[in-house]
Amino acid sequence: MDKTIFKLIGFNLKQLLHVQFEGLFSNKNNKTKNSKKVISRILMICLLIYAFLVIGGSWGVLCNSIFKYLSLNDKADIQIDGQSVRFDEYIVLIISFFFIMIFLISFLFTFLSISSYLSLSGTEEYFLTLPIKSTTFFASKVIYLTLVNTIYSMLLSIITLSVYGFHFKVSFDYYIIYLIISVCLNLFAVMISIPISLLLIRLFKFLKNKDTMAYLSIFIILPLVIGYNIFQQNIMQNISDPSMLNNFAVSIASITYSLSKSILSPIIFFIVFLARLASGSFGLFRYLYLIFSILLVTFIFYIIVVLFSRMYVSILTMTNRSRKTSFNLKRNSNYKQKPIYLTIFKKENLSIFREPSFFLNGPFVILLLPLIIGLSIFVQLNTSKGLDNVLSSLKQMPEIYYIYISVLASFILSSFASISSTSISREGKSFSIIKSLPIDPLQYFKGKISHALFFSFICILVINIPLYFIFPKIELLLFSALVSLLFSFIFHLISISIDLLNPKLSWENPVQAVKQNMNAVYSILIGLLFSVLFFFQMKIFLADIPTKIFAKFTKMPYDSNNIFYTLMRRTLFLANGTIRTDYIFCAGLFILLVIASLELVVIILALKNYFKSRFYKIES
Amino acid sequence: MIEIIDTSKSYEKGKKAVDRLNLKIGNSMIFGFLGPNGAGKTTTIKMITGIISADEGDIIVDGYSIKKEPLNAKMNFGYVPDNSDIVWRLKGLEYLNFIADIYRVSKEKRKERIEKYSELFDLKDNLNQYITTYSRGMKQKLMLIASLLNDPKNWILDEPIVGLDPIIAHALKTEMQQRAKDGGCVFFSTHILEIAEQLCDKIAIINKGCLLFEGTIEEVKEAKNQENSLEQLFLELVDG
Repeated sequence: MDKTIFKLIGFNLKQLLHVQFEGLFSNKNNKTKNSKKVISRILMICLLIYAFLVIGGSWGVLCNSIFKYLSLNDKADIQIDGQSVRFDEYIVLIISFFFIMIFLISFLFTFLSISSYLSLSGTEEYFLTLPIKSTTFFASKVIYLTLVNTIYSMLLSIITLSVYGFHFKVSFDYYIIYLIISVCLNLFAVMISIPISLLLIRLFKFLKNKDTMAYLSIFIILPLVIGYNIFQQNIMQNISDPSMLNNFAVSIASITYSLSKSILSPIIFFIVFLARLASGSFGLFRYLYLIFSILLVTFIFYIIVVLFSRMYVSILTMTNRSRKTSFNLKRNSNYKQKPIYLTIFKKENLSIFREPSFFLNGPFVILLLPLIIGLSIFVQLNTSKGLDNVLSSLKQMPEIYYIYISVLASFILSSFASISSTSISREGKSFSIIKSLPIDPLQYFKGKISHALFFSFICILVINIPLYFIFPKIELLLFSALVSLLFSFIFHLISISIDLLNPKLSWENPVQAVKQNMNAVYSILIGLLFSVLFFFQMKIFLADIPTKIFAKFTKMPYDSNNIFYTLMRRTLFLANGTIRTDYIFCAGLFILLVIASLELVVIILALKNYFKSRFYKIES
Repeated sequence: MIEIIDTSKSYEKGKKAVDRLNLKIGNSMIFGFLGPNGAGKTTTIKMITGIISADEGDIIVDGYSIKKEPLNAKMNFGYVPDNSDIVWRLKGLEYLNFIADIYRVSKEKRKERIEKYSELFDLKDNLNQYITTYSRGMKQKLMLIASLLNDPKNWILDEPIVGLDPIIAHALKTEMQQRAKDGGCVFFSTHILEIAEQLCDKIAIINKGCLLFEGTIEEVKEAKNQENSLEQLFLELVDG
């Protein structure tokens, strides 16, 4: 094999690692700056490990419950789609089902990410001018794509097989075989995905556009994420019920059985073959079949590289013609004068909505997160027939919770959307243009905060509209929206000041400004801290103080052990009209509003000079 | 008028990018700022425009200190960076309107100037396109138009000719001469000595952050007591 392939892969991987873990591998002299970067990167790695644990953990629990149940089974023949299937074949079908899911993940990841590797960057342009064979060039890309896109699916396949091996007590050498099977399975998925993706892009040129693919990926991945979430919740709910687990196992075996007879049968055939190898069906011949699998995947790799390398290079150099829209420079409506903060607001808005990486990691989260959480809760409660009960108990809940839920949710959404915490970083290299312009830093931040508040307002609407159906009181909705906005204002001020302290201005890919920005992580932590602080403020101003006042007015004994819940009960009485405490509750709300406003003023005054001085100090 | 007073800047401890620089760029002139790569030209221009702050000294633009009154100072110049890195997803016209809003240029004036300069720099057909699709030269043209929207008395250009085709380069040179003739101050850095020789009323040569010479081309030649070309003189000065 040509050595250039490995050099090209090494080059691409180095670039990837440099972007992801810049501080960890750099050996610049500036030790303080470097150590800061190292801490940030370590935190990033911790997050990555956390993501692995979350994904791997939930998948592991799923596999464990199924394989544990099957290992304890009486191993009798099973009826699938009216056919009697031997138990060992039944196991093969179940492993195959997990393999199909893993195959699908690798297939989709490759398909959705391939457009990123089809744009002609400066490096690619340079490589094309070198005397490198198109097959070498393409082969290096295929291997690189496999390495990058199959990290999660490799993890899932290793987990699946290890859990199976553990419950079915396979010999130690099987674990090495499992590792090779995982590589074969994922490489096979990539090998199938690449030609299909290339043919589709060749046929529909718009698919080469990274923006189109970014949006398309959301519409493909979103239903899958929600679907998997619901699927997993169903399993988790029935994990202790053997009959439900049995039904589940039979149904997934049945899916594999049907798929093996469909048009996908050649692909399913190889997946089932790998599952059979993993299940131990081949006994002593397993090494022979393993070698056969490796040779087959290598052969497919070779064929794909030979057949599609030219197409890859031609797609790489293919350009999309942009449509020319009619435009009249003389039209007066093209020129509208706006105040500075509004023009910054407009620029921010256009940038965030037009740049898919900014949109998908920002405003889209505001819609996505409540949708996933809401749908998951709905499905979970609906399955357990608890939806009506929960809704009725929510309606019985004291009104104070309405405000708390609203503020908490808007904090969480605002912090996860990372709009304010990456607002300076998103300027990237263009920040130097901003600095050369006669912009008052306070006007600049006014524009930035207005923009962040605009999205907070959307968060508040997204949260409060469903809440309104539970607590249909317009005054409560308005009050909680106002309190949420005030606290969001404080939150955005702090988030922007964090980003201002150490903005990430040098980036080539916009994803780096939002997704790989530690300021976004710090902001999420601050959002959570804010929720805790808010809870205590709520407790003091809506519970402790009013309770004491209440006790004084009614001459009832002051319950010091259970202040908060006592007030909750009493506030409920207020709803029933038995005890007149409305004015106490309202006074509490008013105090909270005043306190929020005062906090805001104090924070603005405290940060005003910092914003001004820091703005001038940043040197990109 | 731009005055650079005892200005220093260092990026690394003990290594000055600009060392106690003193320059006075008067009105009605084109001032060329020359020097080899890494001499400190861009650092100086970035300090004048407030992109980076000077460690020592001050810079005065039309009587306003960039340190003490940055907004007033910035209102009095137009700036063309050497690297037109605009990462915002804006269309050409949207960017120009954004800049005009910042300089508080009225609707009528911005319309008139955008039309005039987009015609002059041949960009009017591309103003409805996204900047991200622009070539290097087109971005440079956009920056030139943007820098003229406030009709600045001081025009600061960092390597303005790079990336421009000969027709646009000619239009730019004419505009520079016209602005100087109208009493404006044009300050630009360049590597192309012929352009400096052809355009400048005054030049300054900088190397390793230190000013080597300031004066008219004739004064440079007199100082060296030779009738050589600017290129030879430049090489002699820089090589020390």
